Amino acid sequence: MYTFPSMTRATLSNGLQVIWVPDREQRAMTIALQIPVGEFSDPVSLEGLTELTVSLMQKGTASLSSEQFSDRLEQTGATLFAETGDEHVVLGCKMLSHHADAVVPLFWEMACSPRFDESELARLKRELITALQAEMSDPNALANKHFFPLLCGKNHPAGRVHAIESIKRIGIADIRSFYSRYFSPEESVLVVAGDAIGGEGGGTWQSLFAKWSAKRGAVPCIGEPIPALSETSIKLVDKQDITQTYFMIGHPAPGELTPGRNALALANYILGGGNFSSRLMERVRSDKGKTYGISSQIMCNRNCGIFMISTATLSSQTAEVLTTIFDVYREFSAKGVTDAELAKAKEFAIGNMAFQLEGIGNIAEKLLWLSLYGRETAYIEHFDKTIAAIGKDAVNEAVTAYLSSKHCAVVAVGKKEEIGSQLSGFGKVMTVNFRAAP
Amino acid sequence: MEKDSLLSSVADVVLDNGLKVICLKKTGAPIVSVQVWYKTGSVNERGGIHGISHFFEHMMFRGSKNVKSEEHARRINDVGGHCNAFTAEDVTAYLNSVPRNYLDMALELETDRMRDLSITGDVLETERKVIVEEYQGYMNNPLTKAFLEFRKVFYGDHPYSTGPLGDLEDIRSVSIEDCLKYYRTWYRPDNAVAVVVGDFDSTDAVVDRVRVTLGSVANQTGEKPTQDNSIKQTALRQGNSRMERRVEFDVPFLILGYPAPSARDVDALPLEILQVIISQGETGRMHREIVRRKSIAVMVGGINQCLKWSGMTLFFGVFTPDVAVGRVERALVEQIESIKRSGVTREEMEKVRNATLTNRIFELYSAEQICQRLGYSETVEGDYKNWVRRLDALERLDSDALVAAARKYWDESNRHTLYLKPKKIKPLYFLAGLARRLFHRKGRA
Repeated sequence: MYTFPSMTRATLSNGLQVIWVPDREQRAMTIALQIPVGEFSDPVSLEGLTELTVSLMQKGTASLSSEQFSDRLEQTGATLFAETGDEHVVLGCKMLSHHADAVVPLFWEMACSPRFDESELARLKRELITALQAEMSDPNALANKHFFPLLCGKNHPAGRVHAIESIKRIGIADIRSFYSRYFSPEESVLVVAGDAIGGEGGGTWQSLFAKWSAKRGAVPCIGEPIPALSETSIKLVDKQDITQTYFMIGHPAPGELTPGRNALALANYILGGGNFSSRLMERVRSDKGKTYGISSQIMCNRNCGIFMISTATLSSQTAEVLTTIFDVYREFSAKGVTDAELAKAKEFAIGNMAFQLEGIGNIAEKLLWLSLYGRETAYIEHFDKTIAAIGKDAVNEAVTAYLSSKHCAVVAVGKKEEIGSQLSGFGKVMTVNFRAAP
Repeated sequence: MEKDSLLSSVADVVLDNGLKVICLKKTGAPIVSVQVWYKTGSVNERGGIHGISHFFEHMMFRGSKNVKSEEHARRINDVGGHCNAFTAEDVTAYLNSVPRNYLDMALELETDRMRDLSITGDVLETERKVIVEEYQGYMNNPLTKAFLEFRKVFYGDHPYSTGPLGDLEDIRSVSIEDCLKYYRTWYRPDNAVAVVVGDFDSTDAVVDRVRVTLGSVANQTGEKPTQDNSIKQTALRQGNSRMERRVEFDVPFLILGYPAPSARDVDALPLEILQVIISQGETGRMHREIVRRKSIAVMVGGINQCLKWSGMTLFFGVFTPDVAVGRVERALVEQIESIKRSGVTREEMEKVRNATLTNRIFELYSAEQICQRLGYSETVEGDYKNWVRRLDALERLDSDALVAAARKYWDESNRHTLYLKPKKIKPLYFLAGLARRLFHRKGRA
């Protein structure tokens, strides 16, 4: 059984949920605000809007220019952090507790009254466009960029990715409008963790947090389940200067809130999520030496998910590795897991939770994750019992339901002359230059 | 500045077999980290075996007397933990983190491979393929490829010129005998440090457990290995170089490199502090002047790599194709020269102290990070107490000490330059950038 530190929760008059987690382990504090809107809410052709909004929020407040803001913040040693998800964003700050009285109001002004300076946006756009250009040389990034549109299609928000053209189109009016539409206390959660939490319920800070009066103007987009594939589609992304083939292979998976999600996670650990304990790693790396690494994962949002396998191998081994991957997957689909594998996967899941709760940063992150899915802390506190109770039948049912797809989306980044004919044995291959839009 | 009460409890002992043990009890999460740091890395390689340290690191996971191939990693994974290893220039470290009730298991696994590694021909050949895959993965990144070439020029004939990745031809020819010789020479308890940090009952009890496990491994016959004197004598090179490469990378990239002292040198800390002032965060001098105020580069940054015998300080600028590389270089150099001329401000010193303290405090939440800091400081810096006392040392530094270090190391005569020029530049992108720049200049006039 896991135990969270004692905490208090309050729902403020503006609707903001605040979770206070007093923790005396170090003289430090973490504050993290989660807003339930993410990249799925980016309008079509303005992909990247959420990310730019979150980045620009960190460049000054209504009363402080970007330079003044960073001077004040960095002078104390405090650092900002941000995460842009599909259905949520997180903005946070780590600080020394004796600077908390100065930093927390600064952070809050940033969150509630960002400056949104046009010249700062221009600079951030240059930075992001440069990063996207740099990705053209990264075969892993190219595989990622082409995989999601291939699997999800452009009608699903998961299939729309940032592009230089979409970033160029984003203007300051788009940012301001997006922020005012979605950034409000409603359904937002704030975690304040550390040893500087003053008095019962946080006193002054709580009054400050309650002053955020913004109202949400639209309901953020929640991703619908991704349609099943009707055929295996293979996309070869031609890149002439590399010696390996970089694969991403996958199919739709259920969302986080689907019953059986934990059984599916155990199954994925055995198939490809469990590093050296996984079947894919054993067969492709340990037995054959055909890759440096191979793994599978299930990326989940509330109602939709994606199962994917990623690896790289020398170009000449492209067909052999793809065959092995499909063999392992099909065997897994047909026969399911063994008792011994399941016992180890369960022990991993139970034992690993301790690492996920080490330190206030991890605790804050876990509390926000629970909030995103409407779960109580009991979900974690009884996680070991939940996992222990999952039987082989339940895991194999999850395998049958979610890891037995007849079709896959396959992206292979490599030199077309060397890998094209090897891929053709697996289905129809569409070849594009690496500079092509996904 | 506040002191770290936690770190005052670090304990150390040298066991009968010469193994040094460093131990710290840290509550907060029911986990423990066990790391074994061997004082060998690519610096001990010579022509014909470049890459063997890294190759051997892989072989350490391929089975020992009582542990099957890859079973070490599986057993750690299967209790919810994780393990890994890395090879650097001066050290090779093995990292395990497990729930606290598996401390003994982690120690026994490390003991088995320190005492009785098994190497068979089949497994060696399979692992060689894995390493070739890893090598090619790095080489498919044009920046890495160019930087490895730059590094050879920078370090000249010093063994640091070839990094831990090694040479592909050498990797293809490493034999079982090479591995066994390397193992017998360097993987000895008296050439290693074990670090244990986490939520255990008592430090004494943990030291006792290490004594009966890793402490029971005998050293192979022969004296403790020593490093060639030439490594130290040729460490800090004088001279400069300019290298320009056309690469499959769409963004122009400029790197300036200066020689840096040994991580054990008294100048290592001032250079680390200077790096924070110049290149870190939104308030770093380079970002503020070159990116924000003058709009010459899109991104700038810097990093110090202080190794056991010497190192390098790097500054870099990423810019758009319409900007002349000379302009970026002058802008970077101007920031370096300005420190040498005028020193640093009181506000900058205060910022660095707060930033260092914040980093330290947040590191202390993680058993694994503490373990890693202690292991690195002991093996590369020469004494783990250097890390423990870093905040005190920082407190004693002033602007004069920083200026002296900057003047000593950051001299034009010792500057090495690497310019990565995109092979292809889209004409439209170039024109758009030029137009933006002209407009920008006009606006500021």
